[in-house]
Amino acid sequence: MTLIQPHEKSLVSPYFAFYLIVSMQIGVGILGFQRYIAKSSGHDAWMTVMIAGVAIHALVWMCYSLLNNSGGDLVSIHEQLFGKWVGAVFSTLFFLYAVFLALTALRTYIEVIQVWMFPHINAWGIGFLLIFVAYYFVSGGFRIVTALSFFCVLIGTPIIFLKYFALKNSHFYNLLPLFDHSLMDYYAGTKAMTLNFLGFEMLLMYYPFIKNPASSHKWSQWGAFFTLCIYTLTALESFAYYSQGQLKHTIWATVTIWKIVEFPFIERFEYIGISMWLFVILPNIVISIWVATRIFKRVYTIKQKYSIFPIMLLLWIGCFIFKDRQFIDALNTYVSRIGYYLIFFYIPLLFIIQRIVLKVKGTKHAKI
Amino acid sequence: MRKYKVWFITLLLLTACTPQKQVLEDIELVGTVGYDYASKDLVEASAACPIVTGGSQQATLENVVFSAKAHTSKSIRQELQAQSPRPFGSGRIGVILFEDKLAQKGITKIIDSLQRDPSVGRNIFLAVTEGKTKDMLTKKYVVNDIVPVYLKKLIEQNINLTIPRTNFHHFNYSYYGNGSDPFMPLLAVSGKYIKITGLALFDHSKYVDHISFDDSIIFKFMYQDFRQGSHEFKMKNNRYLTLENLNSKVKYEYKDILGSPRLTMHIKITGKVNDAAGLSLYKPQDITKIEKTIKKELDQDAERLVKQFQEKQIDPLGIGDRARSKVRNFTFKEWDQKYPTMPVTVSSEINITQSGIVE
Repeated sequence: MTLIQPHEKSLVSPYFAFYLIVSMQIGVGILGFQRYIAKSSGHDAWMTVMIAGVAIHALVWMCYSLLNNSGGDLVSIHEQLFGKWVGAVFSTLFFLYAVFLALTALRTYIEVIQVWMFPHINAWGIGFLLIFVAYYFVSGGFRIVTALSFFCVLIGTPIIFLKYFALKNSHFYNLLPLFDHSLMDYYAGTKAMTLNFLGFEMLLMYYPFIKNPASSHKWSQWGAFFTLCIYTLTALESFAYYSQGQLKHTIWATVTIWKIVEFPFIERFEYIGISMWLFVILPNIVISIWVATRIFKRVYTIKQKYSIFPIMLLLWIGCFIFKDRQFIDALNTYVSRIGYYLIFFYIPLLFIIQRIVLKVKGTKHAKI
Repeated sequence: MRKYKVWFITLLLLTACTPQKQVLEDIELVGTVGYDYASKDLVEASAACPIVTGGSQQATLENVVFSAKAHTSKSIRQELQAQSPRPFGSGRIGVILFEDKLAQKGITKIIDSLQRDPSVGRNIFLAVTEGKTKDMLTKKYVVNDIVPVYLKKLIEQNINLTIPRTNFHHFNYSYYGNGSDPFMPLLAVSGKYIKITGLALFDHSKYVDHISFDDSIIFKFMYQDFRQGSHEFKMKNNRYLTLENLNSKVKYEYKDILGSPRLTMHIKITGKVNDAAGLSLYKPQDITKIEKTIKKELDQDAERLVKQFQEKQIDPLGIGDRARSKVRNFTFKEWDQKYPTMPVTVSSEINITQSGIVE
C-alpha cells in the first residue's frame, strides 16, 4: 500500500474546506442555469435547485465516509477496492474528468467574454493568458490554491447583492402556484441542475491535504449549504424577474439581470460583473488542474510540476477545438451528464463496495 | 535570465490579440434612436447623439441627428456610420422611439436586433410617437436639455407619477411571456414641448390601441402598487376635485379560473384632496360623500378600460399572467378564448386622510 502523506508544511486548516467546496461549485453554471432547469419544471424549478442541493449534502457525507475509511484519497480507494491496475484505469478516467471540468469552465467563460464584451477576441489568445495565470497558482502548490479559493469566495460573494436592483422589476407572483409539475419534471430539472453543483467531488483528491481531515466534514457541509443558498436565491430572483417565455430566450439569465443594475457612475454594469467573474472562474480551473496533476503523481509518479504542462497544452488545444455556441453547449451538456453519473452512481457504488469489503474483512473502521 | 526572455517574447507576441480599444472621446455615443416607417420593407433610423461643441471655455452639448434607411437594423448602422466621423456606441442609449405607423406594422425585427445587442441596456425606455420620430428628434424645444436627455427625464419622472412602470425589460417580459401584452408611453410634439399623450398598447409586436394620458393613471391604479400621482374627478354640479395619491394598492381576486373565470380588482387608495374648489371638507359626512363619488367614478373608468382591452383582445394589465399564478393546471390556450368575454368588476376603496393645511 503506497500512501503518500503530504508534508506537514503543505497542509491547510480544516475550515478551508468551506472555501474549497464553494469556490469549486460556483462557476460558469450560475450565469445561465435558469433556462435549463426551467425547461422541464417551469416556475417550480427553484425547488429542483433545493432538491439537488440536499442530494449533494448526502454525497458529501458519502465522500467523507469513503475517505475516512480508506485514510487516503481517491487513488488509494481505487487501489484498495479494485487492485492496482484496474484502480489505475479508474483514476485515469477521473483525471480526464478533471481536465474536462477545467476546460468547460475555461471555454464557457471565454465565450461569455466574447459574446458580451469583446466579440473580436481570439479564444486561444485569452485562453493562453488564463491558463498561464492558472499555472502560476497550481505551481505554487496546494496552499496557494487554497488561498486563491479563499480570496475568490470573498471577492465573488458580494455580487449576490446586485439582485437588489432586480427586485423592483420583479413579479413575485410568478413563483406561484407551487407544485404545478409532475415528479418526472422535477427529476429532469434536478438532473439539469447537477452541472452547477459539480466540483465538490474534487474533495476526493485534496482530502489528505487537510489537517485532521475528518474534522473538516462540517466545513464541507457548510460549504455545500452556502452554494445551495446562493443558487436558490439566484433561481428565485430570476423566476420572479423573467417571464417563462422570456427566460427561454435568455442564454445568460444572471448576466442579463445585471443589465438592470444602475449606478450613477456606470451605465453598463455587466462589464464589471463579467470581469469580476474571473475570480469565480479561476478557482474552478486551478483546482481542477491541480487535481489532475495530483492524480498523475499518485498513479504514475510523475512530478506535478512536469505533468502540468501537457494538461495546459490539452486545455489550450481545447480552446481551438470548441469554437462556437453549439460546440460549447455540447461540451457543457456532456460534462454535465458525465458528472451526473459520476456523483449519483459512481460515488454511491464505491461507497457500497467499500462497505462490503470492510464487512468481509471484518475490520470495521480499520485502515485496510 | 533566459527564462524571462522567453516570457517577454511570448507576451510581445500576444499583443496582436488585444481587443479593439474604445475610448470615450473617440466614439459617438447615441442617446436616442428613432425608427420610422419608410416603405414596405424599409426602415428609417435616426440616431440622436449629444456632441460637445464650443471648445473647453464654453462647452455646450448639442444634439446631432444622423438618419439613414435600410432593411435591417444592423445595416442601418452601416448607413449611419457612413455619415459620422466616429464609430457609434450604443451603450448609452436611453430612449428608443417608434413611429406609430411603423409600430402598427409590427416591430419584431427591431426588437429582436436590440435584444441581441449586448451593449443595449434593459433599464431604458421604449416609446411610440405620433408622427415621425425624426421630426421629434430634430426639432428645437424651449427646454434647456438636449433632446435625448429631455426625453429620458420626461419619461422617467412621469413613470414616477402618472404612467405605469415600463422599460425595455418590462417590454420583453410581456413580449415573450404569455398572458400579458406590452405597452409603451405615447409621445407627441406639442408646440415647443414634447408631451406624453397616453399609453400605446401592443398586441404582441403590433401597436393596436391607445389610452389617453388621463386614463393612464387609472391604468396604473389597476396595474401596480405605487405612492404618487394625482387624478381629477368630476363631482356634482360640474365641480372638480383633485385626489393626490399617497398610497395605492391593488389586489386581483379571481373566481373559477379553469371554468368560467370572473375577476374582481380591489383597489385601495389612501389620498389627500388638494384642489376642492367650493367643496366643504370639514364634516366627516362630506368626506364620505366625496369618497363615494370618487369610488363610483374610478370603478366606472377602470371597468371601461378593461372592457376596451377585452374588445381588442389585448391584456396589458397581465390579467392572464396573474391568473396563471393562482391555479394549477392552467393553460393559456383555454384562457385566451375566455379572456375577451370574462366579467371583470372593479371595486375600489378610497380613503381621504388629509385635505391640505386649511379647513
